[in-house]
Formats: sequence, C-alpha cells, structure tokens
Amino acid sequence: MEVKSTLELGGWLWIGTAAGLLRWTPESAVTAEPVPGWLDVEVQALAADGDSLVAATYGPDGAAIARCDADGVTGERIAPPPGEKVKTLAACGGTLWIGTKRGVFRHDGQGWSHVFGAEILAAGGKAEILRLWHRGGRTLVGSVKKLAPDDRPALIESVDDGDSWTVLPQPDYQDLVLAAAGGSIITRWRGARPIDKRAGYKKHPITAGLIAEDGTTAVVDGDKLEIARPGAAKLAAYHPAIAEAEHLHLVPGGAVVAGAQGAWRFEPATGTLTDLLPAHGLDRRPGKLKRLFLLDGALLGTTTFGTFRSFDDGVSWERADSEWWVLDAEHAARGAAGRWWIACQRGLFRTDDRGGRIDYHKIKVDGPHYAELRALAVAGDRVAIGTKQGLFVNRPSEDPERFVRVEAFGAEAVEALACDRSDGTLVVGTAAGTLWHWDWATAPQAPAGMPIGESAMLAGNGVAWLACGDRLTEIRGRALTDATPPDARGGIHLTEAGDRLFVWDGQGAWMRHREGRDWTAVAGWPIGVRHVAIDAARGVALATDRARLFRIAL
Amino acid sequence: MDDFTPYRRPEVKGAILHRDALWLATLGGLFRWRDDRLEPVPGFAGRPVRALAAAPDGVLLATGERGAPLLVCDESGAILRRLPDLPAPEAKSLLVQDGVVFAGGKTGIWRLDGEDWTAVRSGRPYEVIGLAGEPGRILAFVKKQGPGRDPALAVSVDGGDRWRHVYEGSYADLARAVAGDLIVTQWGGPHRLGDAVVPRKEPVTAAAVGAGTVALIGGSKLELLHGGRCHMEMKHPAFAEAEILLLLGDHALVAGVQGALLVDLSTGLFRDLFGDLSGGAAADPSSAKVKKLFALDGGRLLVTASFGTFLSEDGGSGVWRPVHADWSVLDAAGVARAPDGVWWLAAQRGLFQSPDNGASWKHVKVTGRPHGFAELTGIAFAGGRLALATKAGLFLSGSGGPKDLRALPAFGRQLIDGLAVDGEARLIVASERVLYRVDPLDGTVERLADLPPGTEPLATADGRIWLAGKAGLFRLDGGTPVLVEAVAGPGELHASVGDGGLLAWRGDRAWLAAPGATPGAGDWRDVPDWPLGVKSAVPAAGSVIATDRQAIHRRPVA
Repeated sequence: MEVKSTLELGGWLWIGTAAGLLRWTPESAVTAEPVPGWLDVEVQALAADGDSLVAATYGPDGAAIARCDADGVTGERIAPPPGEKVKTLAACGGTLWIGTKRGVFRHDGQGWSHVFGAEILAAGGKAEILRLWHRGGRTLVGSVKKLAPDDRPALIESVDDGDSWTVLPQPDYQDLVLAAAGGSIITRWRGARPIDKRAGYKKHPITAGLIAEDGTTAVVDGDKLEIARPGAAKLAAYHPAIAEAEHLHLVPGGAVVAGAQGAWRFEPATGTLTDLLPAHGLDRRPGKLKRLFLLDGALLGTTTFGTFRSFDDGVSWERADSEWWVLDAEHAARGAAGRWWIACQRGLFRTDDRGGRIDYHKIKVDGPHYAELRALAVAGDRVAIGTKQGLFVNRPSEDPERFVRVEAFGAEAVEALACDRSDGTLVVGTAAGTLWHWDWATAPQAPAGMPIGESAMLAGNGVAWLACGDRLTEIRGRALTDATPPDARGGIHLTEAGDRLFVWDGQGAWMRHREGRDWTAVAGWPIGVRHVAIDAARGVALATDRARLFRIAL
Repeated sequence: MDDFTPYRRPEVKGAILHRDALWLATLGGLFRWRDDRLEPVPGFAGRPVRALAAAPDGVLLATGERGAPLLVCDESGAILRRLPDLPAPEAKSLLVQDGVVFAGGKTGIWRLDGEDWTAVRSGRPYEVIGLAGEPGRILAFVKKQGPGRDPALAVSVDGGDRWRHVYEGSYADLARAVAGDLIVTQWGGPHRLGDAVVPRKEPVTAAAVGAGTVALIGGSKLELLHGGRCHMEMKHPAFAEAEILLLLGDHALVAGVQGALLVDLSTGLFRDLFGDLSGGAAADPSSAKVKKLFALDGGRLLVTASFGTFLSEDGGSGVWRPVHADWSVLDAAGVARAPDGVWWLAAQRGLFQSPDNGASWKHVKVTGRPHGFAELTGIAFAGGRLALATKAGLFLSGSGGPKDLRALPAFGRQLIDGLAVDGEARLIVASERVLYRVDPLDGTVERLADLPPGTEPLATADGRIWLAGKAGLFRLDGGTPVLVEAVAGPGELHASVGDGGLLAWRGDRAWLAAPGATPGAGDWRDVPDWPLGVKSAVPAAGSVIATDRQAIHRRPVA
C-alpha cells in the first residue's frame, strides 16, 4: 500500500496512506494501528500545529484539510482553494499553508490567499511546491520543483508567515531540495551538505532526507540508508526494499522508510526489515502492476511493491533479485551478449540473466548531469539514454560506467529514442521538436521537426514511427505521415510485435506490418490497458491495466 | 617533552565476552567492562596481558612480556592458579575447549595434558595468532608456516591430535574468520573456500561471524554482511588497523593498537572505552607505542604512534597536534615527497597522500598488478615514478600515474627490504641480501653487490647512498659498500636523514654528519646524552628528535 505522507507527533509516527491513516510507535507494537474513522481516506499530506495533527485528505466527501486531536479524531474541516490539489502542508498557531502545483496558499481562518507563485504564474512560469516546513515563529520554508525563468528547483523562505519570500535558486536542473535546516541542505543529486557548499553528484539519486536538530543528517540514497551523526561513524546500510522511499524517520535501532513500497522499519545492525502496515484492519489495496517487459522469454513485471519474474505468462511469479525492489521502469532494450538494459526515471539497470538478478548501473558523468532518464536505445555494447538534460552515451571501451553528453543535441530533454537495427543509427527526438538521425559518430542530421513530448518510437530500414499524444507519425526521410489507427481515441502507445507495429490506447489495440497501411484491431482487447509486452513468436500479448494481468492471443 | 597523555590508549591484544563482562587484555594490564564502565582488574595494573580465554572457573591469561606465566584468575581478578610454563614462553593465543587448555605461539600449538604441555602441531615457523573453538572442532589461525611462511587455517576435529589445513593463503593473506565454507581473509575479504579472489584495496584486519552475519574491518570501514543484498557499513578513522572485532548483539567491540571502541551498530555512535579512564593504566606510556618520526617540509615533523598520528610545526619542541587522517593509526613504513610537493606515506597496509605538508592524510586506494602488495615496506619517487617496496615485489607506477602500479617482473614476489633514490634518480633496492640499481623509467635492473647483512639503503640529500643495519654503516662507493669505520662497533646500527644531515646511532651513542659532509672520520659529531633504546630519530636543524617508543626526546646539537 502506497504511503503518501508521514509525520512524527506526540510520540507517534503517523502514516498517511492511499487507504487511511495509521500510527505507530516502536515501544507498543510491531505494526502500525489504523486510526479509527480514516478508512478509505487518502491522506495526501500531514503537518503538526503544536500538539495537533492536520491532514490533507481525499475521501468520499472530496478534498479537505482536517484538524484532528491528539488521537486523530477529526474536528474542523476546511476545503482547499478551488482547483488546487494539496501536495504538502504546514501549520502553526491556527494558520495553514498548503503547497500545490501553483504555489503556496495560506488560510488564516478567514479564507485562502495565494502567497507565493501568483505573479510567477501570471508571467507564464511554474511554481510547483514539493514540500513546506514551518520552523516556528513566523518562518516558513519551502521546496520548489521548478521555478521561472529556467525551471530550476529552489528553496524559498519566508519570515513573515508567507507575506514575502526569499528565493534561493538551486544551480542544477532537477536537483530538488529534500530537506533544509540549521545551515544544512539535502538535494536529490548532490546530497547532504552545508547550504553554502557545493558537492559532487551522487551516483544514486536521493529520494528522502532529514536534518535533525543535533546536526544529524540521514538520506535514502538509492538502496542505501546513510546516517551521519556528529562525532559518530558514518553509517550506511543497504537493502533493496528501501530504494525509492520518499519518507524517512530515525527510530531506535534504525529507521522507518516509506513510499510507494509501503512503510518499513529497517534495523541495520541485524538487517531486519519489518513491514509496518498491518495485514488486517485496513483495506490493503494491492499496489500497481506498472510495466511488463519480455526479456528473451522471461516476463518481468515492475510494480509499486517490487519487481518480479514469470516464465508462465504471469501465472506464477518469483521476486527478482533486484538491487532496488521498486523499479520505476520506463524502457527495456537488449544489448550485447544477452544483456538487457532497463531505464527507470532515476536510474539505469542491467541484467545478464533475463531479470534473475538486476543491478544498478552507475552512470558516471564529468560535466552536466542527466537529472532524469526519459528514453533508451541500445546497439550492441553502446547505450544511449535520453534524459531531461540531453542525450548521453556510454564509453564502453574506457569505462562501462562512464557516460558523456552528446553536445550536438544540446541540453534539451530527449523524449524519444530508437535504434534502427538495419544500419545501427539512432533516431533522436528532442523536446524542442526536432527529430535527428545520428550514426553515433559524425554530426547528426535533422530531417524533421514536430512536437515531441513523452513518446515511444521504433525505427527500421530508414523509417521511424513515433507515438506521441494522440498521434502516430511515420517518418520517411523528411516526410511525415499521420499513421494513427483510425479507431484510436488518443493517448496512444507503440511497441513492436516482430515485424509488425503494435499500437494501443485505453480502449483498443491495433496491428499492422511495418510497410503496410491498414490496421487490424486486436479482438478481445481489455479496457484501460496501461502497458503491454508482446511475444510475437507465440502470438501473445501480455497487458496490464495496473491492477490485473491479461493474456491476449493475437 | 611530549605530552600525548590525552591520546594514549593501551594496545589491546585480546578480548572476550565472559559472564556478562567484556574482558580486555592489554599491554597496560587487564581491564573489565561491565555496568557501563571500564575498570582495571586489580593485581594486573601495568602488567602486560598478551592473550586471554574463557575458562570454566574464570579467565585464562598469558601475562608478562612474552606471554608467561599463564594464570587463571576469577572474576575479581584473584589468581586461582598458575599453569605449567610453556616449553617456549611465547603464548600468542589461548583456548579452553571442553576443559582442555590450548596455547598457540610462534612455533606451534600446545595442549596441556595433565601437568605437561604436548606440542600437537609445530613448525619453524608455525605462528598461531588465534585459536577458536566451535562445537566439535578447534580452529587455529596461522600467520606463518611452511617454507613460504604462508598463512593457513588449521582445523582439528579430534581434540587437537590431528590438524588439517583447510586454507593456505598466499603471503600475508591471513585468515581472519571462518564459518562453514565461508572464509574472510586479509586481502581476499569474505569468499567461499577455494574461490579465486581479487585483492582488496583495503585489507581486512579483523573479522567476526555471528548469526547469519559476517562482520569485518577493512581500512577504516566496519562492515556487516547480512546476506543477499542487505549489508551495512560504518566508516571512521578510529576503526582502522583494529585487529579485534566482537559482535555483541546491537553493539560491536572494535579493538587493537588504538584501544577499544564499543560501537552502537544502529546509530554509528561509539564509545572510546579507555577514553573514560583518566590517567593510571590507560596512560601508561609502556602500554602504547610512539613508533616513527619523519621530517617533512619547513621543519615539520610527523610522528606515527599506536594511538594516532601527530604533527609538530616547531621541530618537535613540544606541541604535537593530531593530524586529520583517513586512518587514525598509520603504521608507517616510510614517506616520500612527489615532484609536485605532495607527501606520500606508505603504511604497512595502505598508501596515503598529504597535499598540505602532513596536516591531513588521505587514503589512496590502489592495488598492484598482476598481483597484490601483501604489505608495504618502503616508498620513493624516482624519475617522476612512484616506487613501492612491498613484501611481494617492487611496484612502479606506469603511464596512468601513481594509481597504475605494476610489479617489476625481475623481482617477482620477492620481499623488498628497502629502497632509496640515488643522485641520478635511480632506485637502489635491497632484496634478499642483494643490492640492485633500477632504472624507474625502463625498469632495467642491475645487480650491484651483496648486501651487508641486515642493512637497508638510505639516501642523503646530495644523492649519496648509505646502507645501515646490523652489519654497521656503509657508504656505497661506485656500487660497492664501504664500511664507515668512524661509527663502527658492536650491535645494530640505525641511521636516518634529515635537514640536520646524516644521523647514525647505536645503543647509547649517536653521531651526526652535517649535510654535504664527506663524511670522513672527522666529520662525525657525537650527539650528547643519547637515550637508550631509540627506535626512530630525525636529525632536524639544530637538534635531533628521537623516540624510544615511549617518549620523544630532543637533543640539541651545535
């Protein structure tokens, strides 16, 4: 069950999930106890107002910010500003602040006022708030995901309850601020450090961090929990279960980590991992089956609760020995000697045994960072990754972990990548709307321009097909042709089924030969499919709507 | 003149958990940790205890300078009985298994049968540094055995009558812990018995095996391997060089020359057990060692000790401050200055560099090719190349810089006793009783002469080479060692070089030849009031700084 928020208050660790509120204390019980009255309520954010709990929720009655007593019994409920989805919450002395995609809003008992972001939005910029912390007195601190003019993250601080703000822009794109206190800061890629110091890039992204009053810093750094206490040995403990956790608390004997994978107590001295979410008394909604990949006959399923492998079309599954249990995988591609590469948003992974063992592949970069992975293409031992900060390629002859940015493509996000196996060239689609052909060595050619957002692309025999938004485009030389199946309703996806193209949306699926013109609808296609793996040799599609797995004969 | 009292910690030679108390055998006495405090065990204050083992009625101790006598004391420290003396008083390890006493020493394993010791395994050498009992078997950790003086792990399943080697390692790859078919060795780390290993960059100095967990100390890192991908590591300079590791539930004891640290495995916080003791046995100078002195640039002096590493800015006049080092204890074999002014230090088990003239020392992770170093014995820069003398060959840096270290084939895995650089930037290498000249750029090796017994080379600032050791002091003249008669005499001669020139000492006498002196008979000046037992000394400008391992002495020279 996905944990959305956590808070230490009154000796309890409060855990807000997609299906209710729980609380836990290490002294009383092994697992957390559901708080009565919160069943089926999604708890998006939690904050303390003195000794009281405040929660931003989505329940049967809609969105609300609820004030609670020390036992979690709900009192006053306040509706958020119209159209705003609460991402984070802070409270002090009866005043509430919420952070949303559009900035910071304050509720002073009379109503909401937009205290940060209004002017930025009016100027066409972004002001998405990730976190808010109240520091006592009238000081409020926030982490901004992207701030105008260049969409870089920022730390914002107000010492007058939000009337005015000081903005400390972060130098690196996507280097989000995860915690800031007492002169220290923790950011996604540069880690924990004094706020006025720079630091090198971490090889893993940091997903959670805390700074304690005594100067202790703790971070979840890939599958590593790292705790640095003043005067102590720096402690680093590794477990695949903690990777991608977004919430972190130090507790006696270790730490609690939480996120998409649930909430776990991790005790480094013994390696003990304890599931804090109870098996009963709560609607344990299954997590999401997110992606399916066929790795030379082995079906790999990535979920919010781990990564699994099946050899019988998903009838039975075994947990993959993955360095991170939770792989937020987007793409998989086959390389030399049977190696498969798996690109996740925050990391590149490799497996040499079809998903039996999956290892994080450190990406070493000397210059600009890649920030986030968007696309993947592999040709033999050459690996190209499309990222938020351009196209990066490896240097296998020098160092298998060394990647360099291909400056010809600039620093724009690369949203689409495909390798044309007929000649080994890459087709590269950038967010700037340019489609390039590149032979990995000489200057790239730019035959076409078109809007390119989050995409899937295939290439072969000099032709490329790009599925982006509601449209499938066929690119031959400089000629762009709309190849969208006539019955497609939008939000289309693309994959290959042997020598055929396979396209699906939320309503249906269609196939055609690459050189063909007519699409054939796939019979019995389920509604709401989010991802597909095709076994062309056996004529089978394996599909998921995030909850179920479907096996469809083609 | 020095005041290291706040830093001194007695060297811990053994530790056991026995009846709710942690017993620590140290060179400064026997200590017991219980009820959250450390206390000296009465009757053993200042008395070296070299090994200990739990016995049915108390604790068995190897006391005294050479591990004798063997005593059994009760929990109050009262001596219950004295065991018969070993045939050779050199107990390095003890074990009581099923009521039977075993002792390990430099030449084998003894078992006490009634009132007599029986040598159940012996050899010259057969140095047993650890004994451990498991249900149904006894383990002996052997540091050196056989013609190659290689390490081994011996096992007996019949109460010590017969022993079988389940592991025999290459030189210096000592077994540190074993559980089933898993073994932890100094350079191979944890691996299955029989598996090939890649030499670690940080050798394992201590290891322990608990319920499903393998723990080890490699460099300054304490690691716990819980199985699968779950593991934990803690890093602190104070952990480096520890040779004792005990798993105590949610704590671990890390101990060795640096004293004893009780580490909270869930927080990384640790307690310096001897840091709580003020004065007394913990500060007894004889229980800890000041080991080596080195002259750096601008009159700075570096001293390495069993309890830390210190720097003097004023030529050793009295103020020494701890350096910032990745490993607190640097068991230094030598230092050398690179052409770019960076100082490098070869410790026995690690290489370090200091860009700030000794104020900080950073561990440089290197490994040799095609084989590992075993241990470092010397360091020099010649022709822009880093040269490392080791117990397994001579290594030179290649085109990839100081981290690209390759063994010179001519020396193979030979023990290199010492090296120096002559006036023409060539290496003078002492190995297996022969002196060689090596061109660092092309690796050409030229045999110069037989090495006078027990001597090692050193170079003065003018590039002249000297050989000093048991056979006396020699000047290398056209490739031939020539005895320096002026300082000839009985006993081992030591020598060192610094801003003050060439220093030679033996017993209670020392002589100094000024920089650039020939030096002939008339160039040597006596250093007055020379202390006995000096192990390391540096001729600084205007004075000589020396240590007898317990204190630092300064002797002004005109």
